[in-house]
Amino acid sequence: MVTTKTVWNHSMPNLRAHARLIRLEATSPMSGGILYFLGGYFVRFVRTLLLLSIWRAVFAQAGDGTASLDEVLRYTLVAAILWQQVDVQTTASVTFWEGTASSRFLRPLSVFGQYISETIGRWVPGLIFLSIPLALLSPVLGVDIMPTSSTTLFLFMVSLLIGILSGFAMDFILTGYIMVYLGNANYIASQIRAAFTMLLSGALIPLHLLPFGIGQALQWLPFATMASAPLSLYVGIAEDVGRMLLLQVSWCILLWLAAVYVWKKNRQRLVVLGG
Amino acid sequence: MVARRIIGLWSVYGRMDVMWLLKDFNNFALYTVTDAAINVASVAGIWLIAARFNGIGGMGIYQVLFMLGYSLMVNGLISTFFSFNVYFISRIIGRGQMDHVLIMPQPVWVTLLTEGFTPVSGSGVLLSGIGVTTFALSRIDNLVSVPFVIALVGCIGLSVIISLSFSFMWGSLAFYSPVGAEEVCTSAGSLSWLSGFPLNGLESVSKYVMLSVLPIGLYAWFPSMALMGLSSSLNIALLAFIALAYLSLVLFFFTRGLKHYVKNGSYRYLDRGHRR
Amino acid sequence: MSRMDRTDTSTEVTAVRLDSVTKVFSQKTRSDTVLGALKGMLKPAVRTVRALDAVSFTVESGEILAYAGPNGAGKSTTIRLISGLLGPDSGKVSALSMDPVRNRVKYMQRTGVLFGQRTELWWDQPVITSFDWKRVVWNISEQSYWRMRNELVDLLDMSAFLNTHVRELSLGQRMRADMAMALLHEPNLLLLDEPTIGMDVLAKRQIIGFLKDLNRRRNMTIIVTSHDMDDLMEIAGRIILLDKGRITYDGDFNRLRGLIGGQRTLILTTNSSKPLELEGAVYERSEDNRHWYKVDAERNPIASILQRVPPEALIDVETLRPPFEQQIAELYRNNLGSSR
Repeated sequence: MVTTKTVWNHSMPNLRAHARLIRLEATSPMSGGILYFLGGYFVRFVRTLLLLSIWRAVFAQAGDGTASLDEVLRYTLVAAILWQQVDVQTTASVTFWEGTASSRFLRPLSVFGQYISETIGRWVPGLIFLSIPLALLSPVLGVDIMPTSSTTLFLFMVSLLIGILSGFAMDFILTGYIMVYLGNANYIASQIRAAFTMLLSGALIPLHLLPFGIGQALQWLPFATMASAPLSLYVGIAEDVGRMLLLQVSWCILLWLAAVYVWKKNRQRLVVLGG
Repeated sequence: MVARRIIGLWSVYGRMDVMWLLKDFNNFALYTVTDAAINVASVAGIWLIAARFNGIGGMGIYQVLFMLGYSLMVNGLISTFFSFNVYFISRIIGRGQMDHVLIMPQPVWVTLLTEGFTPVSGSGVLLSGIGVTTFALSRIDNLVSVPFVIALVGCIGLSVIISLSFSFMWGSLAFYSPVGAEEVCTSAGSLSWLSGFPLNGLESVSKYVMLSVLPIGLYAWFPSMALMGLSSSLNIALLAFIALAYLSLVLFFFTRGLKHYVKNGSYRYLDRGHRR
Repeated sequence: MSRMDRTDTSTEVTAVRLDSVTKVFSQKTRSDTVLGALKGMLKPAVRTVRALDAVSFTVESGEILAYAGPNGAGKSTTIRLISGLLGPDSGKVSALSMDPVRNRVKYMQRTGVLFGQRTELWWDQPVITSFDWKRVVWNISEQSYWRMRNELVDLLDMSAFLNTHVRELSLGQRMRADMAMALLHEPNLLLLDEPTIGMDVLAKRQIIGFLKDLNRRRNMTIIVTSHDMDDLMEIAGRIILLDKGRITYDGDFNRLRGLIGGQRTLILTTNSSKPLELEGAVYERSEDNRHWYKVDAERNPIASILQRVPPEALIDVETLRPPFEQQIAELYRNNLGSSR
């Protein structure tokens, strides 16, 4: 008899495998004890509060008008809520450094797929312990994060999804390139990624605030695809939504082609370096 | 005696750092350049905001730049003297690597003070900071003098002590929860990104939090304001007092944590980041 | 700190003493369900593990002690207690007439520690640089350093990779380099936790020969743990067997063999594929004309069993002693009592 359960069990073994990977990664951080969360998420929570205060002080002194301030506050809080999604960091580079990456090549699953599943799993505790509380506390923080319309929400979801996919591709390119050509330098990969987040992607400082046309120029780069694009769309400061989405899609395709190329071309070396 | 030993150890570690440069130039260059790049990127963003708003919080553009240069110098000194995860002590403790420290025939504090010394590979950030600060000072009138430079060096030392103490205090949690707190220093350290933002105009609660329990304001803003004479209530003596208080606290917490470690050990060991 | 030239040997008669030492650890138990993991975060379930239970023994100066036991027996815990990395919960640990924890700095000047799965070498530096670093940190005199370095490089055959980066060494090379690191300061006491793990036969032979030579010439006290009983038997005269935190045997290897028994495998090649029935031998299996039997040689001497075999039927005889590992496993299963 065909039931949902039998379809699940027999037709989609890969999906079940990935679901199990997600579950394992979701529960792994909890084995470290409560300090793991008190440490990391508490600090991020405090950092968000402080950043909101700082923006209020900056705009108050600058007298730039409350409209800009509201946009920046919404941008900052939504970026903090979706911090894992606008700054995608897979475990790929760490597993290469540890020498455990080769196990991914020994499973009957796509290597990229495994890393994506593991990363999604790691998002779960962050969503529960930071993202949702921040979202619920937004009225208390004096920031309105509700979308302006359902269309905005829909477009934002599409843009965010493309941004997440681009983020995965970028991480794979970084890992593959640095592991192969620079010899397993996990530290360098993490520093470069931090630099992207700090300045280029708009995850921390909205690009439209940067002077001398720097912000506008950075909007054309792939890093802006991951954070600045969806966040600007949500907040309502994206100038040309259609062009922005088209640029996002184009970069997403190019980044994935590059990621597949780097890993395919250097498969042997990656396997050797992977332990 | 102890001073001579410390200098001798710094000499050994300095030589090893130079040898890394000479024997593995590619990797060395990449580490040094990316380290400097990330730090400069972090201050560049804030300075661009200052340029956009023609200053932040009552500080002019070049006063903000001086503050950012100061912040870079503090980070630079930390990179130079406390590399190899010494600053991120929770990683050493959480990964069970304290054993390597404990089998050395010298006090723990001597090992931690010297083992992270990387005067060449860690210098990128420090040199960037010196460059930015020098440029900023050249644009601020009537500030530079011999007493000012002495005060600047002293304040940087105090900020380093506060930053290090804060990291070690959080890091001591790893004695009690090696897995849970392994990356607590990284998390605590991520707050330091806010150290480049001026706190003028911030509401009192946030400001006092950032000048006490989360001492990010003490890494750059407070000392810069004191050095530039921009506030009567913020002075170097207060900074020294706070540094002393943090040092006392960290000695207490770290010693307690070490006693706990000797009693209970660590059930885990990872060689990740150990002497590499 | 004055520089010491350590060619003189230790003057203590007893190098290491453990008096009724107990060490208990708490372990959190985990659930693999999300709900269980959440519950575990707030109220973790804890179980206590008695790693060592009132363990007492002494090691004389110049002795080589093998310290063995199954996984989780308490071997590494003992090494960590003696090296001062851990303090006992009760009882007393004394080594080289010092408290390893209280007198740590002075104690470490005279003790060498090597954990097989860890390295003291600097990953991105050549081996020689790590040696030089050790010279400074341990405050070894120039004369002593050069003498020991040359000797160790020669004995451990390291000249080929002395200037190679540690990350490029094979496991065997790295272990030899780590061994040299542990010995550069001429310790009076050497603690080795699984020093031959992952090494090939040749590299093991080298290390074992080297340690025995060192003990003979310098009267160095060595305590070594390993899972490889053949290695331990080769290097040490005395063995302590540990199981679940308690000493189950403390004595020499020959007596240990006697305690385990005289199990043998007897292989007879006969002129028939049909196995013979032999009194005193338990038949196991056959392959063509070869027949395997299990014999307790102490109860039923091989010679007397062979007398019952018709001479015209017998073509060849082989006797095999079961691997020592297997015998020790039997010992753990039977949980023999301790005596010295």
